[in-house]
Amino acid sequence: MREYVAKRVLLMVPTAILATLIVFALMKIAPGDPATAILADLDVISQEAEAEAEAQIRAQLGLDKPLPIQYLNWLGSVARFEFGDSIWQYRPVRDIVLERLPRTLELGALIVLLTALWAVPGGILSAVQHNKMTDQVLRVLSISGLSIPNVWLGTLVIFALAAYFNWIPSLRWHSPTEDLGANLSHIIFPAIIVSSSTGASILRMTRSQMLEVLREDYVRTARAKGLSFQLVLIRHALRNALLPVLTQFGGLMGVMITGVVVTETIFQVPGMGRAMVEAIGNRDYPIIQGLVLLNIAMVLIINLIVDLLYSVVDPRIRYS
Amino acid sequence: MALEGEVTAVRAEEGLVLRPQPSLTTKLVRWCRKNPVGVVGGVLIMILVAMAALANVASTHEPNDLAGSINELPSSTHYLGTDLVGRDIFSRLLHGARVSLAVGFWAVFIGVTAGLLLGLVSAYVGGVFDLLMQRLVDANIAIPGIVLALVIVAVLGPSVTNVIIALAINYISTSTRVTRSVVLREKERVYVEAARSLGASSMRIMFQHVLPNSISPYLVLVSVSIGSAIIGEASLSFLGAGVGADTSSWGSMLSTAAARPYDVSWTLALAPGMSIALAVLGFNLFADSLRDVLDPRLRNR
Repeated sequence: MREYVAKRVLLMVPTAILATLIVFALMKIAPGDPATAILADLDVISQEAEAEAEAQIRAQLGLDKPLPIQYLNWLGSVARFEFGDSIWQYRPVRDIVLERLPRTLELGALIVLLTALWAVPGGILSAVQHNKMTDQVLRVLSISGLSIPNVWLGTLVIFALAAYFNWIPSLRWHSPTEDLGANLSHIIFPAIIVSSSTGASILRMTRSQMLEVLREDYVRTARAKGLSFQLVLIRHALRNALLPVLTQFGGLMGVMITGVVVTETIFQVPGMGRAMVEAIGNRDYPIIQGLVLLNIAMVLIINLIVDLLYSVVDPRIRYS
Repeated sequence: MALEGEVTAVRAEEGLVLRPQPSLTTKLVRWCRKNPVGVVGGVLIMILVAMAALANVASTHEPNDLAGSINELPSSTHYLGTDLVGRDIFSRLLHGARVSLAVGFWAVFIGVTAGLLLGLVSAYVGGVFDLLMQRLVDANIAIPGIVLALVIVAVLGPSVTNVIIALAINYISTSTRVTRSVVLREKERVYVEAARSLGASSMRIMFQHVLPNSISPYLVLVSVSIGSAIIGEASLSFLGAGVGADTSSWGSMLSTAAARPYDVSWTLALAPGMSIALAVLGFNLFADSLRDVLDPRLRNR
């Protein structure tokens, strides 16, 4: 087991390098670099002065060096937890991350919690009650959850609340340590909306896996030797059925970090997703690179945890 | 055909009564009767296809024309009213169906199928190939789909093709991962051992035995994915990184409504959103029923 963990951690290194290379390459292929963006903002008198200013800005940002050097420089500073300064906000990316990450983590935790609370029991119930009324109702619910886009649900919630209750949730950010009530009454709406779609796919996966496992011989054997259905369900079936669900939850948590862009936009949650969209709009490379890198690091750690859980739940997968 | 005829003749001589094969129409009718939910899905898809196909004919106005005054409510000239700059919402809705359909289908077909093959081969072959494959998938999954798609569209420029590419890439890695985890479990089963002991080649075992038995998660993925790709396109357009300003898209229509909720006609908030939801619902319902038919192990349950 210890060997497996060590190997698994070691495997993260090439993944991290590949991912940072993908990000770096994309940033370099993108048309328009920060130097030209800053230049467009300056009032330059002559063409000569413009060329000079451009050269100066490029040298300052390190954009005049060869690409591999730029990449290594960036990796080097990242290793020292220096993500550089934002080009537009004139402050370290680290500060921006420290300000925004807790907000998104809070929202993400709430989403995952809500999802786990309704979707996993729902999926199991749906499979156990296969083709009965409960199953049908849950299927309709989950299919609606998948079909109604967050973009629309969010817009509708604001419209409906305003039109019928003449009240919209406060869209101003309150820190949970200052005013937990105001904070929760703000983010509960985006959390419910996102969990309607994430939960729907978790429910479907749980249901389909559960249905397959319940038909396995070992389940029938366990029932035949006299074990109660509940016991078979909990001790035998759940373990195997929940493996792919676990994978999906892992993916979900990774996506939470910047992936709730749309809902953060509609409900004006100043989290990581918003920061990312704004940075892409401004071509603020240090922020984009810093955020994506952070995201990659967190997803890799979550993946590691999921894989380790995998090998605990299913010893057969402790492949050498 | 000739052989079939002979066999029938021989069996007839032996006194066996053969039931005639039901015709395709009969089969279709039977399937419809057994899957009313699937039929609803099919009808919704057909409505979407009809909207896309007849967009030019059925439109009352050119989608980009400033055809009326701004924020009009529904009337006999503008069935769904007009938007913030006076464009006909009904006509833009019809043209938006084309974008949703094209992006939804192609992004998923390209992405999930590529992922299925990669996942199958990766899990079956194992070793260094599997390792490399999984690192690549990990690297890709580590970047959230909508962020990667945003960056790709920003790099390639907004267009329908580029949105398809941007979204398809995300389905490759998810599909590879899910397929791999299923195949890993599937290849340890007795039927694989049996096939191998009978001398079946790796290719045959992979594609004839393991693939059909791993198809159910593939179909669940496709069924979830076409809908989610339509939503993905809408989200990208909503965030202003979609198919481009000249192409009418349900997502960009919604973004106008969300940005100016108190100004626009209520139809702009309702019509595109409901169209997305019904289109996605159609694909989800249809694929759900299709799965029950295509997966023999779940049949008659």
